[in-house]
Amino acid sequence: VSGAGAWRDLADLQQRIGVTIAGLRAAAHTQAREGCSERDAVHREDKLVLYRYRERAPRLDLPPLLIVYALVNRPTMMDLQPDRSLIRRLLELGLDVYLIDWGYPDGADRFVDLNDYINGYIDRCVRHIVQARAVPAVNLLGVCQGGTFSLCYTALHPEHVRNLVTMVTPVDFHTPDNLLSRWVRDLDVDALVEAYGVVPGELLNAAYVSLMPFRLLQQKYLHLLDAAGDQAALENFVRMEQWIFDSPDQAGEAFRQFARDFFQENRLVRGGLAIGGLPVELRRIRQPILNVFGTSDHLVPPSASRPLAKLTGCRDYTELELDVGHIGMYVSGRTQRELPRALHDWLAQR
Amino acid sequence: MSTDSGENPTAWLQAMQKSQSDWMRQWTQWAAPFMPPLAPGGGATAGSTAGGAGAATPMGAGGAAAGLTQQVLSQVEQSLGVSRAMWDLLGRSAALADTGQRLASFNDGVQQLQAQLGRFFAPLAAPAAPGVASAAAGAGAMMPGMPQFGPQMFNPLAFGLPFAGLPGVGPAREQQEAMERLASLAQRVMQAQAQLATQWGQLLQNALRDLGGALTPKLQSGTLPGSLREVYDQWVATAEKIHAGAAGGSVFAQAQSELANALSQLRIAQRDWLEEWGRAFDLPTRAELNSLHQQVRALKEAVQKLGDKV
Repeated sequence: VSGAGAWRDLADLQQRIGVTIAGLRAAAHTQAREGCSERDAVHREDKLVLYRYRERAPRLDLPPLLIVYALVNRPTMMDLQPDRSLIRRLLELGLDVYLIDWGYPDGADRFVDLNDYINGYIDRCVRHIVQARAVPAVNLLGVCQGGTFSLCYTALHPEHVRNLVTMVTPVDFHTPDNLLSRWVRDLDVDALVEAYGVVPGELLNAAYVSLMPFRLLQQKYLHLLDAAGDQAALENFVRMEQWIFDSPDQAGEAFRQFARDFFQENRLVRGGLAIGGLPVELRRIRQPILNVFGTSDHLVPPSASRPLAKLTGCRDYTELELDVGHIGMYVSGRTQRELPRALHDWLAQR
Repeated sequence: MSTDSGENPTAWLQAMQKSQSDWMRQWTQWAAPFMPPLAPGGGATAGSTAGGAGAATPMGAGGAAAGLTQQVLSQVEQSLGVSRAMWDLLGRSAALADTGQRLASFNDGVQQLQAQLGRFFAPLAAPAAPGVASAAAGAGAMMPGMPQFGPQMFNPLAFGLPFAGLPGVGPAREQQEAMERLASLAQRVMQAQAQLATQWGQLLQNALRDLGGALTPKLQSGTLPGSLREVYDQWVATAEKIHAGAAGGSVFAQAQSELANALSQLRIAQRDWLEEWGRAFDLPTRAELNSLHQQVRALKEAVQKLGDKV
C-alpha cells in the first residue's frame, strides 16, 4: 500500500467522476415512464385506474389476469422497458393482462381504509372484468403488499378468483429476519397517522434505505462510478432511481390498519383479521396458489412468504423460488427469462 | 409525493436545522484527517493537480463542471472516510519490518480510530442542555391573554421551559400548558436523538473492530488488499452485518421507534398550537377539514347504498 498508489487511485476516481457526471447529464432525459406496453384505461374510480393491455399475441382461452400491485410503490417496474417487462412477456405468451393503478393518494384520502381498498376498489375492478369479459372469475396476481391484499380478497370473495399467484408477498410478518417488521412493532402508528394524516412516501423510502444504509445510501452510488462510460447502464440506473423514490403517500387509515393488523399483530397468521367487519380466514382459500419469492429479498424475506403453504385450504399449492432480491424479481435478466414462462405454464395447466 | 410537508421557517425549525448542520460539521471535522489535502487556492486536490484528472473530464476544464466534480469527490471522500483511514493504517503498518510491530501498530491504530469515533459521537449522544432564549423579542401581544406573536412562539424551549412545573393559571392557562407540552416533547425528541446516536456510535465502533479483525490475518500473511476499493467494500459488508445484528435488536429498534414516536407527538402538538392561532383568525383548521372529509365519506357511502338498491 503505497502513497503513490493511493494518489493514482484518486486521479482515477476523479476521472471516473467526471465521466459519470457527463453520462448522467446525457441521461437526464431518461424517464421511468408509466409503462412501455400499450394499454387502455377501462375503469376509473376516484384516483384508481384499471388498465387492460393490448394483445401482443393471440390471446389464450384463459381467465383474464388481474395484477394487484402494492400501494407503496408505482407499478412501473412491471412494465419498465421493452427488455425488462414482466407484463410484456406475459402478453407475448397470450395472456389477457389487467393492472390496477392506485394513483397518488392525497389529503382527501386520509380516511380511505383497507375495506375501501379490498372490498371496494379491488372488488369493483374484478366485477368490471368479470362482466366485460363474460367470465365467472379472474386469475389474480398480487405483488408484494398487493399479494397480501389479494390473499384477503380471495378469502373474502372466493367465487371471483379462479387461481391466485402471490409474488414477493409477506404473509408471516413476525419472522426473525424481517427487519422492517421489527422496526414497525414499536412504532406508535396512531400518533404517526395523526401527525401526518397521509403518510408521506418519503418517510417510507427513508425506512427502506435504512434497512441497509451503507449499501443503499453510499455504496450503490459509489459503484455507479463503475458504469462510467456505459450510457445504457447509467440510463437504467436513472430509471431505477426514479422508480425507487417515486413512492406515493399512503392513505392514513389504510396505513394504520396495515401496520397494526399485519406488521404489529400478525393477524394473517395469528387470526383475528377482519376487513370491513368481515373475518379474513385464509383457510377459506381453496383456489390453486402459486407463491413466488426471491431468496435474496431483504424487504420480504422468503421466511415471510413461505408460511402461506400451511395457512390456506388449498390442495394445489406451488412455490417458485428465484435467486433474486425484491427489485430483481421485477427486472433481473433471470426473472425475465424464467418467471413469465413459469406463470404462463402454471396458469395454462389450471 | 406529499404536498403537505411544508413547514414555516420558524425558529424551532431553524434550531433543528442547526442541529443537523452541527452534526455534519462534526462529521466533516472527524473525516478531515482522512481526506486528501487541498491544494493551495482551494478546490482542487493534490491528486487532481498532479494528475490533471480534473482537466481531463469530458466536461471541460474549470468552471462549474470542475466544481461539481470536486463536490462529488468530496462526497465520495466522506463516504470513504473510515475505509481510507483503515487503508492508510494498513499502509503504515505494512511498512514496518517486524511482524510483531506490524500487528501492534495496526491494533493500536484500530483502537485509536475506534476512540476517535467514540469522541465524535459523544456530544451527539449527550442531549444538549435546552437553551432558554429570550421570549421577550416578540412583536407585541395580539390580544389579551394570547401569547406574543413572533418566531419565538414556535420555540417551545424558549417559551415553555420558564413556566415548567408551575400550574397553569390566568386567561392564558391553556396556552401556557400547550407551550409546556411542546417544551417537554422537544426535550423528549432530543433525548431520543441522543439514545439513537449512542446506538449508532456503538454500531460503528463495533464495525471498525470487526473490519480490523478481518484485515489482521491479511496483514500477517502479507496478502494485503490491492486497493482502497477493496477495503471500502469490505467495510460496507462488515458494517451492514453489524447493522443488521444491532438494528434487529430490541435496544436499537426501541431507540429508533422512540425517536419516530417523539417526533410524531411533537408534530401533533405543534399543529395543535398552530390551530389555536388559526381559530383566532377564523382560518380553516385540520380538525375542521377532517370533519368535512368524514361527512363527504358518509355521504358517498349513503349514495352508494342507494345506488345498489336502485
